[in-house]
Amino acid sequence: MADLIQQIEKEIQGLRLKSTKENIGRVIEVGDGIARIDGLSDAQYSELLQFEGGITGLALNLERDEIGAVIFGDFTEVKEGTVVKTTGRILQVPVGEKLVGRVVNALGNPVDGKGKIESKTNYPVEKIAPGVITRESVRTPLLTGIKAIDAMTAIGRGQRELIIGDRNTGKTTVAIDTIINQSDVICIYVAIGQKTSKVAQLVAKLEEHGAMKHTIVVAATASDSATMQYIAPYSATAMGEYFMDQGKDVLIIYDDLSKHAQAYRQMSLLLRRPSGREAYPGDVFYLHSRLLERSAKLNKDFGGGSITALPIIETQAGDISAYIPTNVISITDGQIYLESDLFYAGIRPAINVGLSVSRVGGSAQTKAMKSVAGPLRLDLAQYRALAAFAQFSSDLDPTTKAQIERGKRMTEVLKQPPYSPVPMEEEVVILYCATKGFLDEIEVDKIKEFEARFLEQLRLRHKKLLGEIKEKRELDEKLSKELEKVTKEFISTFQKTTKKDKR
Amino acid sequence: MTKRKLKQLAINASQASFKNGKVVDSKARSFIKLFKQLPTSKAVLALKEYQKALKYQLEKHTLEIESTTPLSVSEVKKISNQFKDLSVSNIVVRLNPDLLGGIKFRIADTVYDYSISDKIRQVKEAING
Repeated sequence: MADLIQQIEKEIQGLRLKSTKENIGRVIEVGDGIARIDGLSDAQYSELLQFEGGITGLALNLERDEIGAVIFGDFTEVKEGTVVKTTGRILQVPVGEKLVGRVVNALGNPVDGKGKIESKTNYPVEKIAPGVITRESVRTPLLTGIKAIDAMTAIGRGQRELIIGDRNTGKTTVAIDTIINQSDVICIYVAIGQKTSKVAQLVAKLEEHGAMKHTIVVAATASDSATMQYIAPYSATAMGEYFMDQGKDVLIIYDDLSKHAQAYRQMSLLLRRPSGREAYPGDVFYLHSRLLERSAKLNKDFGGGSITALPIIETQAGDISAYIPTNVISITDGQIYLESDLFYAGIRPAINVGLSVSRVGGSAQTKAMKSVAGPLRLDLAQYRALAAFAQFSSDLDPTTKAQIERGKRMTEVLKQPPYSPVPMEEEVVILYCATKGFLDEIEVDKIKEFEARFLEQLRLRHKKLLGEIKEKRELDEKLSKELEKVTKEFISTFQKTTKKDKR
Repeated sequence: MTKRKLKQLAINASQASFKNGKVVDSKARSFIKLFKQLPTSKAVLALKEYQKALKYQLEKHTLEIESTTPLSVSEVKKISNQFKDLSVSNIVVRLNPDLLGGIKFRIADTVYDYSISDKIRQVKEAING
C-alpha cells in the first residue's frame, strides 16, 4: 500500500499540468446510436469525440452547421444538451500478444470473462493500406486442410480469397477448418452481426481442437449496435497489422461482410447520407476495398509478414451477380463458391469447382501438390460435362464410361467431414491415388473406407514416407516410386479384405 | 431560389447585421421584413437560418467567463483586453463553484480552461493511464 502511494506521488510530481484549450459542442438531437451536435467547429473526419459521462463517439458527418456522430456504447446515456469535446485523436484499439486466445468486442475490450487485457500498444482502426513498393508477390501456401481447396483453388499467404454461398452451405465451416489447420499463423475470426450463441459454439469448437491458442475472436454480434458491427472488421485488421509488422503471418476471417454492409447502410441512412442502389450509400465499395487492401504480403525489407483475408459473403438464392457480392468479387483475388444443390446432394464441402477460382493459383502450391492436383480440375470438368449421361452409362463407349467412373471417385475423395482438416502430405497421397487411377478398381461406396484405412496404414507403417513428403514438399522420382509401390500393395490387400467381407 | 442559396443569403444577412460585434437593430429588422415577403415555406426557412446565423455571430463575439468568486470591473476589463484580437464585444460573467478555483473562458465553441477541476481531471487521467 505504501509503495502504491509512493508510486502515485511520484507520478503526480512528474506531471506537467497545463491549461487546456478545447473545442466543444452540444448535442441537439440523439437517437438510434446517432447524435447531431452543434458546435465542434474544429472536429475532423473520423475524430474521436468525448461525451459527458465518458461515452465516446466518432465524427462521421461534417456539415456546415452541425456534426453527425455515431456513439459507441449506450446512447441512452446521452441527452439533448450533453456537452461533447473533441479529443484530437482517431479511434484506436489495443493490440498485442495478450489478445491471442481471447474473445473481444469491436473496441478491443474482453467479453469472455477472463479478465482485463493489459496492452501497452494501440493501433489505429483506420489505416492506409501498404503501398506497392512494400509488397511482394504471394508465394507461400496457406493450407486449409480441405483437399478440394488446397488442390484446385490454393490460397497463398497475403491473398484475399472470398468464400461465397447461400445460407447453410458450409462457409463458416470452411473458415473454421482453415483456422484449426494452422499452427504458425495467428488467426483472427471476426463475427459480424451473428447470433451470440453461434459465436459461443464456435469458440467452444476452436477450444476443443486446441485452435484458440493461436486465435483472436472479435465479436460484434446481432445485439451490438450497427456502429460496433461497422468498425469490428477494421479493429480486427488493426490487431492483425500488429503481428504483420513483426514479420508474422496472420489469417483473418470476416464473417460476414454482407452483414457488415447492412450495418453500414443502417448507419448511413440514420446519418441522412444520400442512398444509392439497394439503399446502400454511394461509398459501399470503398467500405470493403479499403478493408481488404490492408491484407497483403510484405517484402523482406518491411518484415516479410502477411495478412491473408478470407471474407465471407452470403448470397440470396445463389445470386452472385447482386450488388455487394459483385463488389467483393471484384476486390478479392478469387472466390470459393459453395452451392446449396451440392450440399444437399451430399457433396461437402459443397464447392462448385467450375465457378471457384484462385487468381494466385499454382504459385501458392507446393510442388508435391501441383504434381498431383494438375489433372484433377480437368478430370472433374470432363466429368461434369458427361455427368448428364451417367444415367445411360450402359449405352456409352468404354472411354466415356471410364471418365465418368474416374470423376465419381474423385468427387468422393474430395468429400470431407467438418472440423477434420487433413495435413498436406496426406492430401498429396490421397490425391495421388485418385489422379493416377489407383482408385478406379475400388467401388465408389468404398472410397471413404479405403482413404481412412490407407492413411492409417501410412501413419503406422510408412511414417518416414509421409515425413519426407512433408519435408521436401515435392514428389521426386524416388518418393513417387515408393508411394506407387505402397499404394499397389495396400490396394491388393484392401480388395482381398472387401471381397472376404462381401462373402 | 434553392434551399442552399437561401441558407447562404441568411448567413450573409447575419454578417451584415453585425457591426463592431453587436447586432444593428435597424438592419436586422429590415432583413426580417425582407424575408417575410418570400413565399411562406421559404420565409420560414430563411428566418430560421437567419436566427441560427445571428446566434452563431453573437456567440463568436461573446466572451463567457466562469469563476468561483465574483470578479471586479477592473478584473473583467483586464480579461477582455486579452481577447481584443478576437473582436469580443459582449462579456457574460457567471459563477460556477464546480470549478473549485481558477477561471474558465468560452468564445463560441472554444473553451480555455484554467480551473482547478480541470487540473484534477488531468491528474486522474494520468494516473489511470
